[in-house]
Amino acid sequence: MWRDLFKNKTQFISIFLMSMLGMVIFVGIDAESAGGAYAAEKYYKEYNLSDIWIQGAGFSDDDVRTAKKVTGVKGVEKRLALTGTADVKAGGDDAYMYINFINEGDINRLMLHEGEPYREDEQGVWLEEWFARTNDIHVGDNFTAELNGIKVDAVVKGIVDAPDYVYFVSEADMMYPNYTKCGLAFMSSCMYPDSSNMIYNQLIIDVRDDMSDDETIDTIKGKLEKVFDRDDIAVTDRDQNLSYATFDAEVRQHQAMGLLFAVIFLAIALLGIVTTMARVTASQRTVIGTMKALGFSKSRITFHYVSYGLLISAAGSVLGAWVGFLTMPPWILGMFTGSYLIPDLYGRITKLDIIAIATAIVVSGIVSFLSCRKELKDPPAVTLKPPAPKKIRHSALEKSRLWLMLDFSTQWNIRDVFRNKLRSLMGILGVVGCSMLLVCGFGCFDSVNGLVDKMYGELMTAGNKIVLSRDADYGYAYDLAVRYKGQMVQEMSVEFVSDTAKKSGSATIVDKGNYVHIQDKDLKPVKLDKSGMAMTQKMAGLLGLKKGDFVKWHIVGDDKWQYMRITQIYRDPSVQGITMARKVYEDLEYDFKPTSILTNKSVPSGLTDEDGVSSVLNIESMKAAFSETMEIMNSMVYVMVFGAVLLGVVVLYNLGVLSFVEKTREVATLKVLGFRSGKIRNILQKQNIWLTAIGIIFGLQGGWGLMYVICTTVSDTLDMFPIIKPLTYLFSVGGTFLVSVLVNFMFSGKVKTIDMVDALKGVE
Amino acid sequence: MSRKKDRLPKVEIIDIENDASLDKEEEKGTPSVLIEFKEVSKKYVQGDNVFYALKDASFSINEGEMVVILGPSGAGKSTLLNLLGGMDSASGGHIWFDGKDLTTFNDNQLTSYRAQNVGVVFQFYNLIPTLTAYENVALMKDIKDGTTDPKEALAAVGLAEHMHQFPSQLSGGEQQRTSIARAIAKNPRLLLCDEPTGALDTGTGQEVLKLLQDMSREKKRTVVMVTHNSLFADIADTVIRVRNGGIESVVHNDNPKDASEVKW
Repeated sequence: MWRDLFKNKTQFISIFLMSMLGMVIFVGIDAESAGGAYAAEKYYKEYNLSDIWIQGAGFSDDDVRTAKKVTGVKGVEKRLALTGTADVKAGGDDAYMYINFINEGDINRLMLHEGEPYREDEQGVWLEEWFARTNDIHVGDNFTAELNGIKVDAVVKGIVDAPDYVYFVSEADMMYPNYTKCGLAFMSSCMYPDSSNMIYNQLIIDVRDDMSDDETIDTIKGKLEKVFDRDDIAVTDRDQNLSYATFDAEVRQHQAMGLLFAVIFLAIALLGIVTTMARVTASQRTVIGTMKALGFSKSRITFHYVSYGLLISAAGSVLGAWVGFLTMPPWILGMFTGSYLIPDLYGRITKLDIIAIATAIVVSGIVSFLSCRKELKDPPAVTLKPPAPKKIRHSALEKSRLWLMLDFSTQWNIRDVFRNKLRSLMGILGVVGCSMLLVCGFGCFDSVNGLVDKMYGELMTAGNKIVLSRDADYGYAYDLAVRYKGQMVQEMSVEFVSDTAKKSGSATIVDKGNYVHIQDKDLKPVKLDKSGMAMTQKMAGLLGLKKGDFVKWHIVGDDKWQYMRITQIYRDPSVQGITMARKVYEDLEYDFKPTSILTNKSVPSGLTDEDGVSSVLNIESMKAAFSETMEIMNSMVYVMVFGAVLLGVVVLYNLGVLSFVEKTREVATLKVLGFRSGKIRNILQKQNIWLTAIGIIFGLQGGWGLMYVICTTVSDTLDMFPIIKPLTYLFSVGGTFLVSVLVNFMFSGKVKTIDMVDALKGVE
Repeated sequence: MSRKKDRLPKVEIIDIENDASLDKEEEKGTPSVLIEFKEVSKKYVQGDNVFYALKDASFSINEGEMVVILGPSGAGKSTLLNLLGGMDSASGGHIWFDGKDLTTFNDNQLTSYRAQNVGVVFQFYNLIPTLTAYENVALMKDIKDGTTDPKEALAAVGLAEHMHQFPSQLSGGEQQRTSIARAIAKNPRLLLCDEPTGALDTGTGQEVLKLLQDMSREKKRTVVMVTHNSLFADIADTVIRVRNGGIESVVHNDNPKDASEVKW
């Protein structure tokens, strides 16, 4: 048996490689997303993440009791969630702080990394780990936070993480978390400076485990809204919670994207196995006949061949799954660190992986069984002879006059393609897969670049952005704006609530100037409606709203809710939310407090020394910073492109071997007849080029489709426009052709080495 | 691909078939030598073992002759045929074809030697299964100028009616005749046949044999046939017996039998 394996080593190695590659990608990505989901689920359960949040102004103990009476509610706690600042080492500027004054602390329990566990009666502060670590804060240090001008001093009692804050962003960062400059602190409510006038603004609710399915939660939410019967509260569940929903979306996105690729990979790998296995048994025809003639039983021979298929694909699949499991999850989940504060992120093998492995093994087993049976059906006397040639019919094309005008190599290739439909189809599919993944992969780069160019060049046209510190007042900002002929802009985090969803986003308030632009749904520049509120298309879509609808929103950390009509829809690639003119904002009785100034004048670097200036960013550094946030996506692209090329090579190499082996006799005959090796090579290459061309035509379309799906589902915050540059198509086509032609060249090189003498001999 | 479409004018084809000038070998005593083997060896080295498939073989073949190379399997007759056809290279000695030494030829020269001068008929026909009988014969246009029209060639072997069928639709005898048509369409000076009747029944085999004999007798082509069937010796002008890699005997047959008289 081992000798047989060795003899057909190329085919078996390719079956092995195909099943392995398919599994590396499938299991790798699946284990990664499953691991992420599992770690989060475990963390939420263990630390009792709240199921429902009620936000509003002023909750009393009575309100807690009222909420507790609702069927299904297991526990209720009230807390005060505020935002403030803290003077920390990193950066030099104050860090943005989320500060929660809590009571019992049983719901959204803190996970302790270091120090003492939280106690209600304990004086002190518990800080988020990443923030504490990067700012070099330790247990026992003094920590001062500033809340609306009031300073709170406390000793750091513990370093923690919280299940309701696996993801949070400061107002300035908007999209990509920066835990160095944005922290999270928990204190007992007894630490609140003016505890007698403390007004709790959140109720966190734990629902009984047996009632925490989506429908029941909705029912409970409805009941809660009813018992409180107040307009100024918002009842939300986990799906509307920024932290929970963001991570959930990230995992889902990986699952969707991963599954898409994984299935394509696995399908192509399986097809490859099917073709190869069928061919291998067919090539063993006479051996099978001999074994039968020698008296081996059918089942014994079947077992022998089926075990090949099983053994090889099992070995490949299991090894692939193992490699995929070991490499991909740590790599991709590793990139989560710093974005998502979830403990124990490890890859996890799921049922789906087992099913995929089993499928791969069973399919190759069945295929080898069926193809073996086919050879066993005939009596040995027949099997010992070469297979009866397939019936060939003249196709319609051949009856036409055109046929006679074709030269021999074209005629021969056309017939060969039709005679070996499965093999040809397989070749086309291999090429489709390869070019599809290439187009999609390169297209992702194009789209990200397009995104960057759009953001910094079309939507924001200033060369410099002066970021103001939190304590810079309006007068200072105004002076700066005059000095640099700049445009004042205020950006902040807001929360939107519609009938169907609650989403976190941003609000951009623009003063007079010419550096901020918006584009409509067809990406055509439009003027901002000076008297209304414009919302991004993506945010409107997420909230289930359209132009003319009303939306409820409030500034994060501010209890005042607004109820406004959306008067304009615009598109923005990276910042989802609303944009309005300064006048509209001030009419809502808010103070316009610029967070940055946009200017085209050159800004001296010494400006950052002024107290009111946090940093000065030029357009290039902004572009670079944004590109960095796309790293996770880019990594997926690398995997894809690498996988595409590898898959293309393996599938095409395998097919090359198959068709070459089958044509050996014909090639030898042609050589004896006096055809030059180069000429025969051209004949073989011709067919390959046809199939590659056909594959590419479909692959380009498929690549665009895949790309479109990824761009539109990639995330809640990114509104990607699928862009594929002509050059990308050219690269993908070129790349695919290169792979295909090179692989084919490797075989056609063997034409020279074919021993003509063999052609004279009978069939072995 | 050679795009040359020029063919021999019809008149010339008829000329070839009835060319009296080629009949010179009928006049015994002045045959012109087409092939000469001189101390030709073919050895295979496997590790320390040296195996001679052919050792110091010397003989000559005259133009227009029907030669049968006879010998049991493993005697070296296939090696002889391969060397004759330029499909394999000798380890020692010289092979002259029309005054040129094949043993000095490189790969390309051997390829064009095959293309221009040699027609091969295989035991298992070796037709291209995806091409029709006609197309299989028409192939030759791609490698040599001045080939016979495929229709004529097929008509000459009696297959005019099955011209557009695929090999799989033809009987063994018909396939072998197609293979002969393919070989003769080239108008080769040397027609090599490797057990051409090996896969055929007696009746069909006899037809094929007759066809080959006619090629030599009527069209004055040099036909070399390899076989292990000693009965075929009777129809040859020259019989070369091979045994254990050496030439056992070269016998000229003054009165070769007609192929139709051979029974086996």
